[in-house]
Amino acid sequence: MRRTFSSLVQAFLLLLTLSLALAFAAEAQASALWLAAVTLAAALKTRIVLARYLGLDAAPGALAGFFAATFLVLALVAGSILVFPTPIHQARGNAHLVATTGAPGANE
Amino acid sequence: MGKVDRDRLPHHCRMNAADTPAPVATADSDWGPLSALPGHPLMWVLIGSELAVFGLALLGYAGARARDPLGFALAQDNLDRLAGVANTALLLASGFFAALANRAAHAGEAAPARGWLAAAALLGLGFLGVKGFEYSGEIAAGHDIDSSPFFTLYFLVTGFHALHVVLGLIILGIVARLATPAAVETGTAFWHMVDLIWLVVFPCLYLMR
Repeated sequence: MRRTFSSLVQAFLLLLTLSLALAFAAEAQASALWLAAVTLAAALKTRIVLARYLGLDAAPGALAGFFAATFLVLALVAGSILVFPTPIHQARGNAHLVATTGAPGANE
Repeated sequence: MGKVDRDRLPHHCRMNAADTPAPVATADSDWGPLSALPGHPLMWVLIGSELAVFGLALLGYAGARARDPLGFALAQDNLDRLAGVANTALLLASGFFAALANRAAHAGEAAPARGWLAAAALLGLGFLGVKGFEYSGEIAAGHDIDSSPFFTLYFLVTGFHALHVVLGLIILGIVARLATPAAVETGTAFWHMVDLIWLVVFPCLYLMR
């Protein structure tokens, strides 16, 4: 399947917009919402690359399979962070110690 | 047809089994479900294998992080997210140029295809430059492959990906020389795979916390 120039530009701009949006939001508080946003945006980007650049929109079954595999990896990594969250207050305290004394975990 | 004396034939007609070109797998014959995919089926075997390898590495990362969430969070804060975002933009633009090269090659425009491939490769080199800059900063700050479990996995996963970028650059060079539609399609598919892997690696290592 050959792509039109406009469909390639559209895919590229969508990928770039999603990446920049995540970059601007990267300093946001770590939360379940943030993890969900990162996972969904990354999954959408992988789907665009698979469908538009790798041409898998001509093979819907393969597109679904490859997309499911990438989404599963993203979801499992995000899910593990939800199950084993970073102790935020402790992390902040340690980050402060690292900045001031260069000794991570000095307050433990 | 009667038996032919090979020695009496003109030299260019004396082909034997070894001279016969190997049968080329056709799109709908030898590759089963892979026949339905665009480009060379072997490239899809490679793409599937590479996704599996990086997927397992990232699941290993998740498992290691589960044992020490605080240590991973503190180490992760030392990453240069801006460099990571810059590299994402470079690879996305590079993938876009590779897609344009594929389009040009299929339109029979070999020279523009080579130009787009060169642009894609140039941005790939930019990716390696930014990665090298990022690595040098991290190593200068005392974060090397042995400094913590996070940095061990970070250097292994991103270093392995960078090796794929180098291999992709070599492949882009080869297909630019050939500039046939089939070669460009297969070469750019590898490049898009490198792009795809980064789109999974970057959020897992840099953004999820």
